[in-house]
Amino acid sequence: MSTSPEAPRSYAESLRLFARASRVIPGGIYGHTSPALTVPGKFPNFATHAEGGRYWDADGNEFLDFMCGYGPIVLGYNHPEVEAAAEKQRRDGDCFNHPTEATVLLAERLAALTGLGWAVFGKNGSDMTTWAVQVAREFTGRKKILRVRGGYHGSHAWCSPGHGGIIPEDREHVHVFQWNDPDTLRDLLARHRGQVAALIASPYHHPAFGDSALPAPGFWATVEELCRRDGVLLICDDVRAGFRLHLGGSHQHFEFAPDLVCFSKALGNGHAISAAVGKAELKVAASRVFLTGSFWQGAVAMRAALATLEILERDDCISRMQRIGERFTAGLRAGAEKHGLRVNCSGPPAIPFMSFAADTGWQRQRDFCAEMARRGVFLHPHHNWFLCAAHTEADIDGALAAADAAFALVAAGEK
Amino acid sequence: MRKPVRPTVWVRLVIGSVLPALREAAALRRAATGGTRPGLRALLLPTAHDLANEGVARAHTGLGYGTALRGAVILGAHDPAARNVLAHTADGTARFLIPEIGFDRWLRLERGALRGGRGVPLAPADVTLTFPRWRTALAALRGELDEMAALGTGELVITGSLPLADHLNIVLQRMADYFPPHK
Repeated sequence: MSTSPEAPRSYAESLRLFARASRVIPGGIYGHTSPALTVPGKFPNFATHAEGGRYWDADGNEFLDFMCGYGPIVLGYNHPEVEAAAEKQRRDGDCFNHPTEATVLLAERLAALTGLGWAVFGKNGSDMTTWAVQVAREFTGRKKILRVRGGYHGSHAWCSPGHGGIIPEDREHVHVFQWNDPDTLRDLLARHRGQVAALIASPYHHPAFGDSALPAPGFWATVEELCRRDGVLLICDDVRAGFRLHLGGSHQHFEFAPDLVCFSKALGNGHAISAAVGKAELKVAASRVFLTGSFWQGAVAMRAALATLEILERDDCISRMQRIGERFTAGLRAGAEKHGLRVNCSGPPAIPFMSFAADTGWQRQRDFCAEMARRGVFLHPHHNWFLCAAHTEADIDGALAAADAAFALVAAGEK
Repeated sequence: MRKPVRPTVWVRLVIGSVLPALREAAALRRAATGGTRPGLRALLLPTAHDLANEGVARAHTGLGYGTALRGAVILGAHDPAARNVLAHTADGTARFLIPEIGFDRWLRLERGALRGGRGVPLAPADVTLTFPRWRTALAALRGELDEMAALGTGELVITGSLPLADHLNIVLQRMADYFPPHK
């Protein structure tokens, strides 16, 4: 990989493809991968292939990737053992009239790892967060759902960060409180006593366009206590953080006990799968909430997930990502300081984020990330980053060398 | 989806935003020399036929954005949906540029209240929205632009705080609920 700014990076093919896409696809590229959310023209729009911790764009540019497909790639792209397990199943078949044994094996594995009683499967995080909310309503016979302001639980109408196509009734029974502020939660619970079915939150707060925030000491214990007192189910949305902090779910890392946990992203190392795992006493209610999708029993993704979990455990990948991430964030802090810049490094080391202090318009951040992209390091300016087990010490050295040059340019721009 | 409008807010918008546009349009007509002078309706509520005239289309673009930005200030004070959006938006200044027609205005949000003006803003802009081509701005004004795609192609350029731009855009789009473009 070259981290030299002299190495020209053309995005001509990406831009050509985007122009075509914009004629036949609303938004050109929609959702979280939209170029509108990075720095248009300074980042690639289309990829061709990937390996380990790197990917190549439509123009042949190589990137050291700290987004990992926005989370799913936890072992590295194209992991040989995961792909071998998936390929073997693909030869046998993927979509049948029935589930395969892999579904049962994966449910048993997740139930054991999380310390909960059962599991169901879908394809994306939203499938599971929405279904978990329905299970909570079925179990409690209540309507209301509490969530953290700025938290993300998917693209469905009750929680989408988008604006189009939403009617007030979609969110009539969804109420928000502030992360790390139990008083705002107490107020909501008091206002809606006996009506709240569930509280859904990610294990730590990771808003877009904001620093990540870990739970304050005692926060989860208080939340748990308040929920138990009022008979409110606690749903942990571990879609983004799952399997990067603890193999049994991030609730074990932060030491709290949810009633339901939702996973996706890293579970299949890039194969489309999501899961909801729940306490035994919710199983009957869960069985009454209709759940299906044409491809939700796909056996290939189940086999990929089983292999991913096995490798994560066998190779102690979570500890490794933490170590590499600590080195990365410490290096970024030191690099910024060397150039007289103040940065905030936030989030767990395996899911880090860095922003510039007093950068209200995010311009320094966008300049920095654009300079990193120019040097072959893919970081997102407004969304938390992801490490994977394929990242090496040499990758971190390369990224920090690029950061040194990018910090120098950001600092020069301020003089 | 068109959302409910309040008659009292509509009246405030007419007084505070549409009438000034009418005065501006009248001044534009007076300044027009030679050729056919466009009617006020064509300048303010043009049909597709009116917009085939480039002079009308350019003038309407500037008038339309001016009306929308003045309207945003009124909506921010009186329209419940707009107020709700602004209550959850961080303070900041947004600058709106359409260089081809010399359009340069700003909105400043402070503690949930909007102010607006022309030219260099009171505080440095936290976000600048630029339409390099006035025709793209016109399409956006008429609700005919795929804005996400335009951001990717560079037809719309936003530098700075995307959340501020996004939230102000929601408020600006409320204007179309009160005054749907004449198709």
